[in-house]
Amino acid sequence: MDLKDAVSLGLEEGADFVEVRRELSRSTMIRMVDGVIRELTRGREFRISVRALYRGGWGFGLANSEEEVAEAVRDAVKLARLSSKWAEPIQPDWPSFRGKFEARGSKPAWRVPVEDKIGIVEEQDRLVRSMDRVTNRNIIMADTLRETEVVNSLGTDVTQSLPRVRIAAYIFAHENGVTESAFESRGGVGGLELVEGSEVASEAARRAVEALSARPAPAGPHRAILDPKLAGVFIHEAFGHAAEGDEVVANKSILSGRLGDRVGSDLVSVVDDPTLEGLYGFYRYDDEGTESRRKYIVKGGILSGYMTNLETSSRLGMEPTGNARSMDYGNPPIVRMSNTFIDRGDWTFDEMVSDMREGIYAFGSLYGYTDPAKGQFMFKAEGGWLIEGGELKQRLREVAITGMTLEVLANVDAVGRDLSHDPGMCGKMGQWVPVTTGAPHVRISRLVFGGR
Amino acid sequence: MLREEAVRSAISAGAEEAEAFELLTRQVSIRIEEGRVKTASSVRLVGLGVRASIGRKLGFAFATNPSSGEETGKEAAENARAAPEDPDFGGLPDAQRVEYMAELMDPKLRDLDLSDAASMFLAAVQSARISDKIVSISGELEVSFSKVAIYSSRGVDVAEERTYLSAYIETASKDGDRRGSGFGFADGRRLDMFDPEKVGREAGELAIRTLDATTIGVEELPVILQPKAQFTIIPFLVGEAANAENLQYGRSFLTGRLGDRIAREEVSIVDDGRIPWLPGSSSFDGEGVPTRRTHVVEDGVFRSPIHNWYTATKEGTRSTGNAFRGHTSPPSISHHTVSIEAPKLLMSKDELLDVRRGVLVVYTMDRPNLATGEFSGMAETAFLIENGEVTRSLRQTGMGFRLEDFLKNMDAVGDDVESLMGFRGGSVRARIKVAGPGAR
Repeated sequence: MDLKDAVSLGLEEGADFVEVRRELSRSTMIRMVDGVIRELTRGREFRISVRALYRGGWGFGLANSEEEVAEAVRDAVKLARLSSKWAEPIQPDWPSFRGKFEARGSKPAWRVPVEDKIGIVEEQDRLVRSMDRVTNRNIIMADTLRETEVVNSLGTDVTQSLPRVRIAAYIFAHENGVTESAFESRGGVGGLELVEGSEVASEAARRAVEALSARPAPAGPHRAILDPKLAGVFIHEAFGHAAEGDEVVANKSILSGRLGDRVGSDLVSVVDDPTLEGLYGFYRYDDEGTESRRKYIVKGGILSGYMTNLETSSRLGMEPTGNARSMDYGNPPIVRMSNTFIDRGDWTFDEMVSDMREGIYAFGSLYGYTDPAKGQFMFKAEGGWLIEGGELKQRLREVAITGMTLEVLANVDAVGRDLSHDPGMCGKMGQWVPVTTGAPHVRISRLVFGGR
Repeated sequence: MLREEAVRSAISAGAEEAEAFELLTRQVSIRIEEGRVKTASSVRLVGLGVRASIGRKLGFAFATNPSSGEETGKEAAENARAAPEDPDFGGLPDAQRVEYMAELMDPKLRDLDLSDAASMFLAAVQSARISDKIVSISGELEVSFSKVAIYSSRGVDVAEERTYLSAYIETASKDGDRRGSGFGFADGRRLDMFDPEKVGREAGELAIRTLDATTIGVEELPVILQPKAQFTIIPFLVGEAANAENLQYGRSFLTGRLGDRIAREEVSIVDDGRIPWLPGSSSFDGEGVPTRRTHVVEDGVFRSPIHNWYTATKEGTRSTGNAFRGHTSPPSISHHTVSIEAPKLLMSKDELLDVRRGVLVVYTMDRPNLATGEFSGMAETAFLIENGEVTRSLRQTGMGFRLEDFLKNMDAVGDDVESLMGFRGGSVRARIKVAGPGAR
């Protein structure tokens, strides 16, 4: 069944709004451990999903082939009717979008023989194979091509083709009974040119070896500088999730009802921008078909926007920002970030350090999470340096950093001019989507380190 | 059948051995937002993952919703041809005799009507609404029925049906400028393992109790980790630190420590794949090897890693039945249900709390570092204990310890046993360092 016919069928069945999405994705994954290919995988996935809205209740159904679409439409409408028993009515008076977009890159991965891809992974491994104290080398490269089409009953009809490539190195080093590790990755939307010649393995190996001489970070509050990776994860976890429209309308976020309020130091501006071509969180259309756009979440310390999908935009009285995303079309789209970053300031890193008598320079991000309701967050730094007398003195081990989002943003006292972005995967409600986190170096006057 | 087609196709495309993993999943879910049903979903998915080998070369391919197994089998064989040799690959698993468990599939869960599921879940929402200070209730109920089958050219031919339910409720509370949050969770393979009122009530009570918050400074204190604060820590010891792949590659802090004392003598840590109705249980693992009970730590001594077929063959030993897999990747290694067994340290809840000053951790989402065995994380939901009484909620409380020290210093295990997310056990208590911004 044609997607438009499926939409018509949903309306005939009584739905107030119907959306049908078709997805075909192909992927290759290569995992090399200590110079041996442990995994060489190719995959294909196909799905058609149907979402229906009936008097405020949503229903979601899935077809595994075009022959099953009519059944999925009827299922979705039936489920929407079931949900509507407990729902508040919603008027689907949302904008519609039409268009086609195809990203290619200069060296499309799906045209490159798998042997050449193995060559890229081998090259990374070769760079660190004979490095002193390196004991385990893990290089992973994955490419995907995701082709999607979204059609809805408001007239939206968009198709999009996005190839993504990512290479990552996870390196272990050992000396005198101490083992340490470090992780580094590169990637984006485009072809293999994004990962060829990268230095992920040597960078991870350098940091793993360096960490062998590290000691635990001193526990308690300290003045701190966060590197772009860590500051990027901080703004994503601690602030970005709290600015997602679904959290806001559900009154689960510390930012609910605070538009226009001061939420941080005037040095802090936060942007979510899916239009940055080439970055890992790039897309032209979101998974509801809305055209993506750049927006400030915070400008000069003032909360100036939320990220929305179709439904939350109308409930918040805003335009949809193109932040509806799903892991794959087996899942309904929810409000997600894209390329989210702290905008650049005018400090250099050296100026920040030399201005400090005591503190910690924390770098690298292992992971982080937040509780948007309490405004409490944790993120895990890969390591750090103790700063004394304006100099980096002692290498520190992995450490947890905890804080209250709004207190920390208010305590930002310097923002660097060296903005950079890192690819990663963000999880929410069991769905993982590609994003970038970004920031320049950022200094915070007081941050609590967990120590060990 | 997809799996047989795939194996035949891989062999005729030049593979010497082939194995196909087939998964059929039917899942329904109810999503709650703002205390109301937001979305009802019904999803059916067919997954196929195929391994093919030529000598010591191994390839893998997968497909979601394929119309036949042919192309996936052929791609796996092509990948095997393209892959360089792996000197440690000792072949695909042999067929083993599997003793099938009866307690994995609950017909009531399999046949649960979506409308009944919604009504049942709304009872949890109702129970969470314990005060007008609760400003948000959300959550999700997921019920799935799956058929898992593995078929190979080496004679593996196993299949079984499993059901699974997971439910969580999240709450947010507000009282003036004070904010709190709560969480309730349950999972299992049987419908009556889900008590909606209990899950909702827990989430509601936590949200109210966390409104009244304070902070502490840097102190060394007796810390009690409740069961929900352990599922990222204790199973980590088995699933990651004692994972044979991590040991063989020297990634784990337990590398070279087999036979060493890593916990106090009264403590054993067990992985069990055959506990009736628990989500970590199955008759066979992701390679068709029968599951079993493995003493990873026995009387404080590190006794056994957990293996899949690859790591076991590499060491010349037998798989412990810990191969873990979905259809989109080849088997890795994971734990089933991990328990701490320490009957000599058993205490009641009141005895556990009997400290002058301490911290009760309800949740943490953090895990230790694989290479160092050190834990540095946040007590996400935690309370201060003063003179044996649980008093105020704590904010911004970091915790730091070496996992081995924690297991050696542990002085009590509670009788408040819970099973969740691959962990079963009661609260544990040990003296560790906590770090906050200072007392308020």
